Amino acid sequence: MDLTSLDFQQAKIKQVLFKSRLRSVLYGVREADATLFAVRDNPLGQWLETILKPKYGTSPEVRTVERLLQDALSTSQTLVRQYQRGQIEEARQGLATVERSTDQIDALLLQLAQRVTGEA
Amino acid sequence: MNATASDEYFDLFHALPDKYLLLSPTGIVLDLNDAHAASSLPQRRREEVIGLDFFEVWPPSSDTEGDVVRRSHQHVRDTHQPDTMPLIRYDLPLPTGGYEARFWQATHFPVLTPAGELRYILQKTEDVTEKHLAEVHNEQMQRELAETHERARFVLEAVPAMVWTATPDGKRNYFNKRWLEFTGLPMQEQTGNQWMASLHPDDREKVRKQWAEAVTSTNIYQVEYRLRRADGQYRWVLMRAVPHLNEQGEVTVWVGGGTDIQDQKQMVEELLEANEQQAVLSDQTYRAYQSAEGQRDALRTLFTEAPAMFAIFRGPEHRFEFGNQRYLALFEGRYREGMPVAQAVPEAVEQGFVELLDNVYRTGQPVSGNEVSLTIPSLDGAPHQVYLNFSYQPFRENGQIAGVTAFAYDVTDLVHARQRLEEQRHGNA
Repeated sequence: MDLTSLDFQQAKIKQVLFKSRLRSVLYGVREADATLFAVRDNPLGQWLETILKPKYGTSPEVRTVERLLQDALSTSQTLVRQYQRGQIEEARQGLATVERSTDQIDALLLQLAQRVTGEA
Repeated sequence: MNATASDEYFDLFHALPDKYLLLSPTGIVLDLNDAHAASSLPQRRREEVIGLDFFEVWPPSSDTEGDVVRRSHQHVRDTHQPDTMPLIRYDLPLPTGGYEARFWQATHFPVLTPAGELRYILQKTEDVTEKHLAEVHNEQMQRELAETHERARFVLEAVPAMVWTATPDGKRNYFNKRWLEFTGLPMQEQTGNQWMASLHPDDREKVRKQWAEAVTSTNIYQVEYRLRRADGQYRWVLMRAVPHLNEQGEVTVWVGGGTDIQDQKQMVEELLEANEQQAVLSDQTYRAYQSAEGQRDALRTLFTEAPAMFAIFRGPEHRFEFGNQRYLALFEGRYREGMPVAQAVPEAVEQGFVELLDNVYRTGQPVSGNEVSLTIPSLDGAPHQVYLNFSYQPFRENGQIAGVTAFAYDVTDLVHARQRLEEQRHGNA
């Protein structure tokens, strides 16, 4: 079955979920666990692996998205360590860096979605 | 005392290190020593002023000045007691014209005769201009310092945050109004380490440790904890403090501040919950969609390849939506998607099929028929007749009739066979 806009909506929701989990750790609402930073446990990472890569694994967007996700995850890990060391404000300000990566991921997935589904 | 001794005493008087002026009881200048003359008579010689009235030698620059001196002289005359004048400004004339501002501290002492009468008024004068100006300057500095303090205090009170200060060893010594209002406790119940009593018991130890570490290391202090509000509710606050260091790198004061982040935290938590639920729902929807898509494909295959005729008509005009291979074959490709039945197969109107469709669509009651004859004019001109067993069933969407499904199978061969059988019977009979 070809990918539809529903698939890309899924990706977006998973990305928001990841950001929300990270934010909740940096605001002391949840404890961090290692799965937060692992690509294979990340909701968007799983989506990439199971939905996107089997079909479009060779497209340049997918490779860039993978790299950006990896960047976002390692930045997240740094921020959580900062937070745990007591650099609370600095860690929260660092969310903007993660946001930059995820914004780029959004843009690339949108671009890919338009090409794949033929929808604007 | 002989003349020589008297001269020596005069010399001694002239050489005294402080400034002395000797007046008669009426205020005539009798003598003044060198130190006095040096500062009070910069342009005149002592001999020129002896025998003149005090005010002639040193005319006051204002009535007020003159009065102060006059009153002091009079006090000595009246009481035979020394009198220290209030600090006066008694400007001295400058060689270039005008006056130079000078401030004086002068005391008039009575010198009495053995009989107790006033013989002289001895003025001891101190030029306190430098000291006075320094004091004035100092007072101004103090005033400015006080204003700076007042401004700093105002800022601490006015900022929309809870603010406190602590001594270098970590004892809190000030809380602003916002903190006091938040906790509902007076300052004296919070200074030192007492403020920790307002912390949530689960957070107290952690905060105590972190504060102690910050004080020792003089690193920035940053911590989140639950602080008891005046209404008894614990609210999460974010506190941050920085030490102020002097030139030697020693802490002079800690300034801390923070805000209530309870709502912020709650919002983050609610957002996370909403996002988690959304992700779960979206996964469910996605799986349902995939499963529906699979079922749809299976059904489509089934319908398409079924050994019967099947079609879907939508809306009051019975627009063609779907027909399987056998159905389309029967009508020789006259159906196009979205085309009303009456337009695609005008014969169906004449033969009463459209009326049946109308009834089903309107009433929701299915109809069926067995071995119903339908004549279809073929594209090549020769009409052919078929017999169908059929049923029209309404289908609904959102509880409303949306269209009609048609199911039929061709029984023409069966009917023809029976007809032939009957003919044979008639023949035999």
